[in-house]
Amino acid sequence: MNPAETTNLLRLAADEELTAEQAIALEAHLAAHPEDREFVEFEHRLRSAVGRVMGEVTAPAELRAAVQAQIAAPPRSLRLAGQAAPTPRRWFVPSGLAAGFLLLVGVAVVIGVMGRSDWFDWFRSTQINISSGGASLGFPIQEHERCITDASYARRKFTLHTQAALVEHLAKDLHWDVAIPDLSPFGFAFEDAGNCSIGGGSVESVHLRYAKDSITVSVWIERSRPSDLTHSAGFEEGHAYFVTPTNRQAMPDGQSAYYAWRSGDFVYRIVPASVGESREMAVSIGMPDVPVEEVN
Amino acid sequence: MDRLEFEAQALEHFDAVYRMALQLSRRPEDAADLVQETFLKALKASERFEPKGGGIRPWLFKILRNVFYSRVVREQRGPSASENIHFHPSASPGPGESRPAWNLAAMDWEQVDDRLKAAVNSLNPEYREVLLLWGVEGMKYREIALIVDVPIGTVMSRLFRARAALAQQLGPLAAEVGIRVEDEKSDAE
Repeated sequence: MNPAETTNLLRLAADEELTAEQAIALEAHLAAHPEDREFVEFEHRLRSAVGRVMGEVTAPAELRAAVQAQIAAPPRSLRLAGQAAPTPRRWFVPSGLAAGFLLLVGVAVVIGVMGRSDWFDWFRSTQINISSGGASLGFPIQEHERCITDASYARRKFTLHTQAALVEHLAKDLHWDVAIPDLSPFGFAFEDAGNCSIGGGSVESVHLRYAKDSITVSVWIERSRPSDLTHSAGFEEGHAYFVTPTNRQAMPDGQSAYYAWRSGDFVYRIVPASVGESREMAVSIGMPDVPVEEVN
Repeated sequence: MDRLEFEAQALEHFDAVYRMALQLSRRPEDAADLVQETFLKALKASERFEPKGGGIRPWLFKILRNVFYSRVVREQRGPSASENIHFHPSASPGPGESRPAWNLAAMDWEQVDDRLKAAVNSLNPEYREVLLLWGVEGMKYREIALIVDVPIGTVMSRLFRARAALAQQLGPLAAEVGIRVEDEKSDAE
């Protein structure tokens, strides 16, 4: 056996990929060269170290929740309790183009239904819309709870521990012109903050935490975009929303709720709504003081 | 496989798929997109999935890889010979050509973390991919070959080169912490 063959054999041994014939050859080699066991040990340790060092990454909780919602739940319509279904937005489309488009859609549906082609399957899969999943609506509660119960996760997430650091981050990194909510009139002191993303990473938000005694309150400030859930759910400026997500699979506590409101390009959420003064706190930091509308 | 079964099996590997997506894309936001598209495609194809070649995990990785490289091609910014290649084959041993040149038993593995991470990240993407499937995901050669779509021999070759490169890059650390480093140790025989 030449040196290259020997080393390869030792690596195969370390990887537990030896054939029976190679195992016999290895035993014979190690009997003659017991010092080579150290090399096999090194390969074991290298593999273990690579696994430890490179395997410490875990997926963001919100991404998992969003994908889980996509898999588990068919798209559901969202509307405000007590409101009629939202009026479809009117689009100006030249009539010829619209007719052509409708014709194409019709042909596609016929092909899909009759032939069950891959193309139709692909078309159908796009109907699983991340922004219409209940998990995204319930994410703030799930995330709020996780950050309380999973200290390790919270340590990694909340990197801003002073309001000064948060101010600098909002201005310099995110270029957001927003005020930091002040809950001190209610006895809640700023605790920490960190970046967050709602909708599987598609929406920028900052998660702020405030604490009083053993109670923690979360505030999300989220830069809103026309494609995000708050638009499809019909969140409008000047309204106050009491959100009770119903996607229990993605939420440990289906009865939890929070307040949300829109202010310009931003959506605010305060979690949970069960703290005695949650509504007053929300109003103090910008939620319109109007009767709340329920969202579920 | 129905939707519930798919959910139970596929989500078990969510972190692993995200890890690999992050390694491929190097950007968390791109990794999130890759993961979502991967699971949607897998869900769509789950009725046709037959567990073979290691179960659902290699299958998810293969879909992820296809999604990633499809995007690369689409965006016409795929890794070229000059991009993201920090690994110099001429400076690295081939399979079986050399072994670490220091006293392995005396190595403090807790001290290698940062160096090891840097060394892994500096590998040629093709080698890094195979190394991570081996080291992080604990896959066998045949599973890696299935995912990367190359013969098992190529997997072994890439893996051996990657490990040899890592061992070489960890050598200076061994010297720093007082471990005796030998000069260009050749094979024992």
